[in-house]
Amino acid sequence: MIRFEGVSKSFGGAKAVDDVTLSVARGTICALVGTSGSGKSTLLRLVNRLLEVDAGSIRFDGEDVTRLAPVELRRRVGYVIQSVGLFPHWTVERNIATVPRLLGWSSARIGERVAELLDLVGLPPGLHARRYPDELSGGQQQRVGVARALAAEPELLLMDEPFGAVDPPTRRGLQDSLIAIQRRTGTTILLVTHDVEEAIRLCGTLAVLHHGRLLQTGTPASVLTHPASDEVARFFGGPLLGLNRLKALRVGDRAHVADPPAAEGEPIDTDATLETALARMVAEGRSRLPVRHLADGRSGVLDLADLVRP
Amino acid sequence: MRSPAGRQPAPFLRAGSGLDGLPLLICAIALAALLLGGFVVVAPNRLQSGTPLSLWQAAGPGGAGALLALLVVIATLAARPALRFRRVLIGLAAGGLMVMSLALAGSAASEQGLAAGRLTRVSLGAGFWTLFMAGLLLLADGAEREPSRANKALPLLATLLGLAALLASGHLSQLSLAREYAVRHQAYLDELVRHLQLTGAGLALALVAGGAIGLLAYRRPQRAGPVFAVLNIVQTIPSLALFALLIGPLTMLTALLPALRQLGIAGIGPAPAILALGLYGLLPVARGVHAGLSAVPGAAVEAARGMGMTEGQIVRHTLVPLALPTLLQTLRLTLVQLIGLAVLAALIGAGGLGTFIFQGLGQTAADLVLLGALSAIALALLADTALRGLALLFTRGPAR
Repeated sequence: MIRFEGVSKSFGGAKAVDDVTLSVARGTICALVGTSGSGKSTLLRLVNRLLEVDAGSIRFDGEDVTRLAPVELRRRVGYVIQSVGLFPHWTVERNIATVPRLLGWSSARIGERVAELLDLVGLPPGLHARRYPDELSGGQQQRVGVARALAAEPELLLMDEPFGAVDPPTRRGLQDSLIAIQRRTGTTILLVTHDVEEAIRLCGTLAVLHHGRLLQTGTPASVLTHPASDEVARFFGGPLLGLNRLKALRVGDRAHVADPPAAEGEPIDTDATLETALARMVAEGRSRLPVRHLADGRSGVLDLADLVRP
Repeated sequence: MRSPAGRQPAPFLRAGSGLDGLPLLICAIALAALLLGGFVVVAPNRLQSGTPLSLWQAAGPGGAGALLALLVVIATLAARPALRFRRVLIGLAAGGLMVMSLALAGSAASEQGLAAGRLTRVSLGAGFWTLFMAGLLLLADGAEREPSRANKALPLLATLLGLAALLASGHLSQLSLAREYAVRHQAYLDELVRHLQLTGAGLALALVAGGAIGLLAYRRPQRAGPVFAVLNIVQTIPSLALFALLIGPLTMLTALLPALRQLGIAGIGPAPAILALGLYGLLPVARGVHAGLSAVPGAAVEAARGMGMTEGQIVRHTLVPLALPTLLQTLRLTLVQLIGLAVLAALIGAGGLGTFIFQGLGQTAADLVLLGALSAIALALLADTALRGLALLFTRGPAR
C-alpha cells in the first residue's frame, strides 16, 4: 500500500528523517512510534506531501507520490491531526462533507454518506449533524475529525497523534471505535503516536523511530519480546518493558492444555491480554486461571509461571 | 454559516439582575441639564451671541411636561429589570426623547422667529444637546446589551425614521442650523458628496495597500515587525502635517510630469487628500488584516490543506470566513476614522464637509461650524451602525 524507500528529510541541515525504508501492507494499522523529535510526524506528512522528501521515494499504491498532484493525492488520503482542526464556522455535517464537496459529489450522495459516517463513529446524526464544533466535547470533536477524514472513502488514513488531547477513558473509547471502524472498512491506517499503550492496542505493526532513523519494525509482540536495541527497550518502558510486554501478548499465546481442567473461577478468553490475566490473578489471589476455547477447541489453563516464561 | 436564531445566552450573561444603573444615571443628568441649561438660544442675528431660553420658556408647560414624562418612563422601565422587552421599550422611549426634543426646538424656533423678525436666529442650546445625547446614549447602550438582533434594530430604525420624518416635514426649518443649510443647500450636497468621495477613495487605497501589507505580514511573520514599525511612524505624523507634507512632493511630481496634471493630480486638491487619508488608513487596515488572519486557528488551516483544499479554497473557505468578524471591525474603525479625518481635506483645497467648518470658523458663525461638524458626526455614526449591523448578520448566534 505504502512503501518508503530510503526516505530522508532535513530541516536546515538537521536530519529529521534519515534513510527510512518501510512497507505498510493494505488493510493493516501501522504505528510510527518514538519520542518527540524522532521524525515520526515528519515521515507521516511526507506521505500526503505536506512536506516533500529530500531523498528516496514514497510509493502509494505503486505510484510515486511526487508524480501525483498534491491536492488530488490529499483528497484520496484521509488526514486526522491531534488538534482536530474542525472548521468552527461549519456544522458537523458540513465539516464531514468537506472532501466529498471538493470532489463534487451530488448533495444526495453527500447527505447519505454523512449520516452513515456519523453512525459509524457513534454520533447519532439526528442529534449531532447540525451542531457546531464548539458545542461538542473534545472526544466528540475527534470522532467528527475521524468521520471527516473517512468521508470520501480513502484507501489510506493518516493519523497524527489523533487521541493525544483527550482524557484517558475517552481515549480508550475512541481507540475501540477506531478498531471497529477499521475492521468494517478495511482502511489502511498509518498512525503516529508516542503512547506505547495506544500503539500496542491499535496496531498490527510498530515502526520505532529514533533521531530520524528506523530502529525496528514488527508486531507489538515481537518488538516487545525482542527489542532490537537499548533505545527500543528504553522507549517501551526501560525497566518496565516486561509490563508492557504483557499488554502485547495474549492469553492464547501462553495458555496450555490442562488435563483435567483443574482451575477454579470464571474462564478467561484467549484473546484477552496477559496484562488482564495478571490483573485478575492479583485481584482474585490465584496463580492459575481457566481458559476458554484454546485453538483446538479444548479448554486450558494459564499459570502465573506462563507469564514469565521467555 | 449561521445557526438557527433563538439561541439564548447563558443566564449569567444577562445583565441587570438588579437595578439598571446606567439609564437612571443618564436620566438624572438629562433632568439636571434641563433645569439648569438653556434649551434654545435666541440671538438677534447670525453672528452675535444670544440669550438662553429654558425648556419651560421655549416649549411651554405642555412640551416640558411631555419631555419630563418620557424621562420618568425611562427611569421607571430601568428600575424594573424583570420586565420583558424592557430594553426595546427604553430604546423606543429614548428615540422618542430625541425626536420630541428636536421637534420642540423646531417649534420654539418658529415662534421666536415670528415674534422677533427675520434676522433672529434660534440655535440649539446646552440643555437640548444634553437631552439629545442622553437619548443617543440610552439607545446605544440598549443596542449594545440587547441580545436579540431584531430587538437591537427596532429602536434604532424607529428613531432614524422619526428623525427623517421630522426633517422632511419642514418643521425644523426655522432653526438656525436649517437656515444655514437652506442658503447653501446645493453647496452642501456637493460638499457632502465630495466628502464621501474623498473618504471612499482614501478607504479604497487603504484597503488595497493595507490589505496587501497585512497579508504579507501574515505569510512572512519575520517581516511583520519592520513593516509595522514603519506604519507606526506614519501614524504618529500629526494629521494636519501629513496633509501639508504631501503638498510639496506632489507639486514637484506634477512639475516633472505635466501629464499628471491633466489627470487632475496636483499639489493641492483631492490628490494629496486622498493619499493622506489612504496613508492614515494603512496601519489600521494592515494591523486588522494581520490580526484577523493570525487569529484563524492554525489547526483548521492545516486540516484544510491536509484534506486537499487548493490555496484559493483555503483562503475562501477557511481564512476569510474565520477572519471575517475582525475584518469587518477593521473596516468599520477605518471608515469612521477616515470620515473624521476627511474634514481636514478642506484645508488643502480638497473640499468636503470641512469646508463649512473652516468657513464658519472664519466668520465666527458657530452654526455653520456645527452644520459641517454635525454632518461629519452623523455620517460617522451611520457608517458605524450600518457596519455593526452587517457584522451581526455574519456572526452566528448571540451566545458566541
